[in-house]
Parts: sequence; structure tokens; C-alpha cells
Amino acid sequence: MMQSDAVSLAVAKTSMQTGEIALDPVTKPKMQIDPTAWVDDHGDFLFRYAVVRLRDDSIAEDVVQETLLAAIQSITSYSGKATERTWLTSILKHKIIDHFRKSVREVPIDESDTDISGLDKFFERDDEWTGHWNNDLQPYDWNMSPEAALQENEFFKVLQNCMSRLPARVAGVFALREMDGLDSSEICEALCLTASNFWVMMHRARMSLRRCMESNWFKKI
Amino acid sequence: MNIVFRKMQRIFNVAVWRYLPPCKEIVKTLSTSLDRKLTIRERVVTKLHLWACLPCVRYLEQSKYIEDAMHEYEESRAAEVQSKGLSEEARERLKDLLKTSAGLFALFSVF
Repeated sequence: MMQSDAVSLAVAKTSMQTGEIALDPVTKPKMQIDPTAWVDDHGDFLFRYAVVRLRDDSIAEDVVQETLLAAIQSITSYSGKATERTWLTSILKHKIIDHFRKSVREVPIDESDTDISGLDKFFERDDEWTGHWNNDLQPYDWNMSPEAALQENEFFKVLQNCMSRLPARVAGVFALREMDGLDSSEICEALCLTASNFWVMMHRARMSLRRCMESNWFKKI
Repeated sequence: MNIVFRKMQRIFNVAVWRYLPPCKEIVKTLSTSLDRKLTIRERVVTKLHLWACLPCVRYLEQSKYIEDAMHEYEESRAAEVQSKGLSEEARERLKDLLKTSAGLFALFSVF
């Protein structure tokens, strides 16, 4: 017992000097991981991944730092099955969600976020068919040639503009789902939403975005 | 023949509009269908409705189109930041930090 402690202590001491951590020195003597090498190997990759989602260089740097520190703490649970990069990315993903959760929590909760009565006007009619699309507001043929429009920068500007008109929380949830490709269950858990709240917000975002794109982009063509 | 066919289609459409849930409900289901798999009942009802209702078909198409556009946008932004990387200063700072905390962690994990 005394002896094994002494061995571990020796390992720890070398780690202090080299910055390396040996994964379970007895059974896996060859698994040496050097956290400082992560910075050169994966630093830029993680940074870019974060910057796309967080839209801010300094926040992205902070999140990468948090990720690497968290990685050191959970290094013993790293089985070596996934590649280092995949493993680090999955930690980064959680850190990004954490960050998003904090920033969304700061936006005061607004009942109106989950209120879709504003969408009723799309289905108001004077005749017996109320509940069906209103003639003036129903989707009309966009005449879209999908590839052509998507290549235009202008299109994305309009899209962004439409996004910014949504309430912050609704837009945030929609972006997490559609841009970051998170599962609905992940989002609900991270943001403490019920499934029906999530769904209502997505529906609201889709209806508003579609309408907004229709009147601001497709009308012009 | 053509006239008979059109007549039948008209009857079908009216029946769908009258006896199945209205567009307002269908549109909600369509939104959901982009996030989760629908139940069999939901699928049948939506399918029938879509046969009879052009605006709802368009709604679904256009929502999917916007979804694709969002993915596309995301990719184009990812391409934009390809040239970016950690600054030298951040790189050094991170390395120092990692070295210290890796050592500390190893030391603590002994006890």
C-alpha cells in the first residue's frame, strides 16, 4: 500500500514537471496524454467550432479554456475509444450549451414567448371555413429555385433580419435546433423547457420566419 | 371523364376540410413533423389534408426550405471562420494554465 502510494506520488511529481498525465500507470503504461499538446493539436479547431456558435472571439476563447480544464479533470474517464478531438468536442458542446443557458436565463422569462395566439390571424376567415388559411395570408407560390437563392448573400441577410425580429428566447431556441443541430430533448434539458413549450416556440419561429421571408424576400423576385 | 374526376376531387376536398381538423391544427402538426416522428393517426390525417390543401403543402415545403437555408447559412459561416485561430497570446496562456492544472490534478488524484 505504502509502496503504491509512493509510486503514484512519483508519477504526480513528474506530471508537475512535464505537464503530462499518465492514465492509470499500472495497467496502461503506454497511454500518455499531454494536455499542453491539445492546444496545438486541437486548439484552433475547438476555437473555430466555438466561434461559429458563440459569435464572439473572446467568449469563444474562454469557453475553449473551460473545455480544456474540464477535460483534464475528466481525463480518467476518457477511454481512448473516441479520438481525442471527438472527446474534446463533446465537452466543448456542453460548455457552449452551458454558456447559452446562462445567457438565456438572463433574458427575463416572458409569457408571450410561448403564446401563439398571434398566429391566429393567419386562420381567420369571415366565411364558414374559419380555421383554414386566410386568403390574404396563406402561403403563396415562392417560385423558388433553391440553389440560386441560397447562394446569394443578400438572402442570408434577410434571413438574419427576420431572425432578429423574433423574441430573443424564441430565436435562440430555433437557432440551437436548426443551426447547431441539437436534439429537442437536449435543448429542453439545457434550457429547462417543457416539451410543449419547446414545440410552441419552434412553431412560432417557423410561422413567423416563413411569413417574414415571404414578404421581405420572395415578393421582390 | 375529366369532369367526373374533378367533381370527385372537389367532393374529397370539401369532405377533408369539413370533417378533418382545419389548417390551423394541421400546420401545428406539420411543424412538429420537422422535429419528431408523427404517430400513425397524425400521419394519415396530415396526408389526407395535404392531398386537398395546396397552401398547407406550400407551408411544409417552405418551412423545410427555410430549415435548409439555416443549415446552409451555418456552413457558410463555418467556412468564413476557417481562417481564424487562437491568438498567440491565448495559446501561451492556455498552455501555461494546462501545465499547472494537469500537475495539480495529478497531485490531488493521489490522495
